[in-house]
Amino acid sequence: MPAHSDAASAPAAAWRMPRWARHSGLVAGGIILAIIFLMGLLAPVLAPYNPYDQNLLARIVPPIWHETGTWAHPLGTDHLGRDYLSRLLYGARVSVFIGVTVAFVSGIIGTVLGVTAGYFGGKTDTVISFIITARLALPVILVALAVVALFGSSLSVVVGVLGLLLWDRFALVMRATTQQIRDADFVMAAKVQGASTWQIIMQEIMPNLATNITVVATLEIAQAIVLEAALSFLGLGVPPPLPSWGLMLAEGKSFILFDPWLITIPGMLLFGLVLAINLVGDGLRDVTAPDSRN
Amino acid sequence: MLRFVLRRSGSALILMVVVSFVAFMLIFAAGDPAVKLAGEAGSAADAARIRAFYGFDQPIYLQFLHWIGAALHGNLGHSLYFDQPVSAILFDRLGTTLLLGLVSFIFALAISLPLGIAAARWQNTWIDRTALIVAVIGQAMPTFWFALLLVVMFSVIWPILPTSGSETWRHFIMPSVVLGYFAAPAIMRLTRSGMILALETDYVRTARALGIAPRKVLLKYALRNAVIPVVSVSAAQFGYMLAGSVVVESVFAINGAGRLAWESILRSDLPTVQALVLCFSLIYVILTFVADVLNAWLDPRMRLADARA
Amino acid sequence: MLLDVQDLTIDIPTASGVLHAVQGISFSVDEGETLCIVGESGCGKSLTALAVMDLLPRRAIRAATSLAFSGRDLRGLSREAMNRLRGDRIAMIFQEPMTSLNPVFTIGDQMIDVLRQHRKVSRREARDRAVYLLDKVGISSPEARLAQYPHQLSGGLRQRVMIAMALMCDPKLILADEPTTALDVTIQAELLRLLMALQQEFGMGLVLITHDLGIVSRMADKVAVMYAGQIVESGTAETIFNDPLHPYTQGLMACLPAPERQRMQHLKAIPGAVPALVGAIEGCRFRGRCAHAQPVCERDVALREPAGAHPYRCVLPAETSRDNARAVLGAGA
Repeated sequence: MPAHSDAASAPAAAWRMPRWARHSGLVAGGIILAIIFLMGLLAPVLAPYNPYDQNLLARIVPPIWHETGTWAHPLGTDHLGRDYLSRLLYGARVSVFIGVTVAFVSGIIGTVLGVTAGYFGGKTDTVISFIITARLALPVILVALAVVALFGSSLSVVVGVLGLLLWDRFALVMRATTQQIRDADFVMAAKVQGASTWQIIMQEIMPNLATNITVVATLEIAQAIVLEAALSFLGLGVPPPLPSWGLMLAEGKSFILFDPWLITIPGMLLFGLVLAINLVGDGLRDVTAPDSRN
Repeated sequence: MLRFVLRRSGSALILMVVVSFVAFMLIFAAGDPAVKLAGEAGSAADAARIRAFYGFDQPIYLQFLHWIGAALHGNLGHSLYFDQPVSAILFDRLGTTLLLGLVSFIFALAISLPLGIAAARWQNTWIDRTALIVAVIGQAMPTFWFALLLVVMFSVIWPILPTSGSETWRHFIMPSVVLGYFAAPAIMRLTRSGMILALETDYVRTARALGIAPRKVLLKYALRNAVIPVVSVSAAQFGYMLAGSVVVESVFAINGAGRLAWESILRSDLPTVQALVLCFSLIYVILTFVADVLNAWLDPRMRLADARA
Repeated sequence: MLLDVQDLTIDIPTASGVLHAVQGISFSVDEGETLCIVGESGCGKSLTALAVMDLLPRRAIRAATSLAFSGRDLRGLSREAMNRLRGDRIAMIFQEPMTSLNPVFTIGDQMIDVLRQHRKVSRREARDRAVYLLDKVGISSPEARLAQYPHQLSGGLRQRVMIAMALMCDPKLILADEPTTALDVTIQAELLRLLMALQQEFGMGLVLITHDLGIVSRMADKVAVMYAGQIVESGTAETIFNDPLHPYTQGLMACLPAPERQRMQHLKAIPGAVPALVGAIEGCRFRGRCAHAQPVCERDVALREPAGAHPYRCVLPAETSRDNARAVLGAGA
């Protein structure tokens, strides 16, 4: 095709918002994310009560916008009379902590596997690709539930099992990206200059993977947060009385008939957090995509 | 084609063996299973008896061969809780889950394919943006919360649907919507990007230049090409959906394999858990295998590869 | 007049400004006549064909004072009416035989679709027509070919299939955009001969778009030489080849291997590159590469037709141009 029609055909196959919206998605996601991070970080300062303190005289107090709501408990209390706002604030800590640590663990595993497979190719690649396929075949939630049941539920077990399970996307993306740049000129140049394999991987390959690692990490943080909530919801995540949003949903489930706010509020937060992370991830991918200047 | 199917089933078979080994090893993950089974009240003698009964004292590879051999004969072990063969309980429950999965999958395709195609056809219009918002929300929505919201909406505020059980088709509506919406975004995104690429190809330009009706260009000439990668992702999403049934079935109290898995885990009914992990993994392996074969058949370049070789 | 195009312009808005891809070109083709549009890639010749077909990229803006096919104004035609015309009365053949056929459908399926789109005929009849045309374009055992997929055919065969597909509805006009560029030289010659034979047999008008003056010399009745979105010279094939007046045409001809020219003379390429057509442009588009550029070339040059010459777009008088031609191309020109 002549250059003209090349310039004329729209390049974007990736799903993009218009420029302003893409930007606002990134900004909005970033703001929500910052708020939730701060919530978790400043929970001891912000929380009006100790999140574990029970008050059996003030059980299931509705939030302030209900007629019977009170400023003593702006977001009400749960079935044990614990202040909902305080629990939500501390719950942000659990979600953020789990998301980040799981992404860190799985990021290391996945990146090592992916880069190794992508860089060396051949038999190494065959073996690692097979491991990735085998991992994909395992039902994550089932295995995670079983492992938590066997080891007993605790924060570190949840982080461990999710970290050991959620590396597949890291591995797939890093493998593909490494394959793409393995034969690039600058890698060749480093080889010719006698750089060792280790030097090439650390100095030439890894810097070029940074963007992709960040994007995949955001996706995995989101997934880890949802999975932790799901595990806790099923009673096999973080142990009570730790304030996890998933656990709060599980506890609120029994009161769904008369006090649905017990599940809508933590659910909204969970949804908002995951949405924000995804928006930031999508935004980062778009901003760093080579044709974003177009 | 035949050669491809054979080669592909070979690797699927190896995968099955590896996956079964992982499923088998699950009970050793947390140390001596005999001690676990004996429970805190159990004495060392109890543990020893259990060890002998289950053959835990034998080398692991022997135990594995024994287990896999029995599984091949349809014997998936003995449920500690039900005190009957796992297979007897499993197949009935698996049927319910597969039915739920199928209905959910149809729902997922019913929203993702038309929306994905429309978003590609009317790229950068309000249709495209609406579809994008539907996808973004679907990706961020935790299944169990969505399930609870639906219960609040359609069983509490506006009670038209039953909250639990699996007796009638109406029981399947909410669970299928939840699972289907969980699977839809990935399929939708891929359909859209595949269609956009297909619509920019030379062969679509040829079809337009020869006056083929726009609808036919879209739904025949472009879609048939765009759908090939969608098949793989759909199969994977189907697999994830079945695994997701653990959550959804426990919210809606559906007596399927997912709920059985959850309950068995809570009851430490390890043989049942093992068998379920195995089943879900094998279903995933089979699904991806079927998807690969279907793809090879959909793409004549692959279908006819042997004839030329 | 089969196709009459007057003052066609194509503008494409881009991030860096409006791309003036085609700037007011005019040409016409009659039944049984071959018009060759010659120019380097990027000169707007492909977009010109797409503009006639109403297949421009969505962002492109098309304008013309006349765009008539068989006396019918194409400008006001509804999308449906234009679609009925495409493939039926006007057909187009593209440059990329490897990618222009749909990989997942058989040759037969795609050919039958074209006829059944425009005519109320049975599959059987459409099939017979496809077999007839595959045979016509020189494909052996056409019955068997119908069941084959594009990837089972060579590039040359695929382009024959494309030609047969374009002929399914017996069109009056064929637009062929570099139909042989992607193919081997020997196959090129065969295909061009075939195209010419078919054109004569069916009495079609043919617009052949090419960068290859060698092809033009064999095929054309009329020639329009395009440069940077403008026609710089046009006339009958005879006048253009015997009496090239524009320095660009002369340059193109100097690049042509000619038996009558001395063997020792090297083939040359015109130095320099086509100017960017984004934003406001003024002056002769070719002046940056022209050996005869003068200050006056900074101003726009009109396509003029002085007495005793054909239309060309250069400030040089015809006689001076002819002297230049002799100097560039040798006495034989």
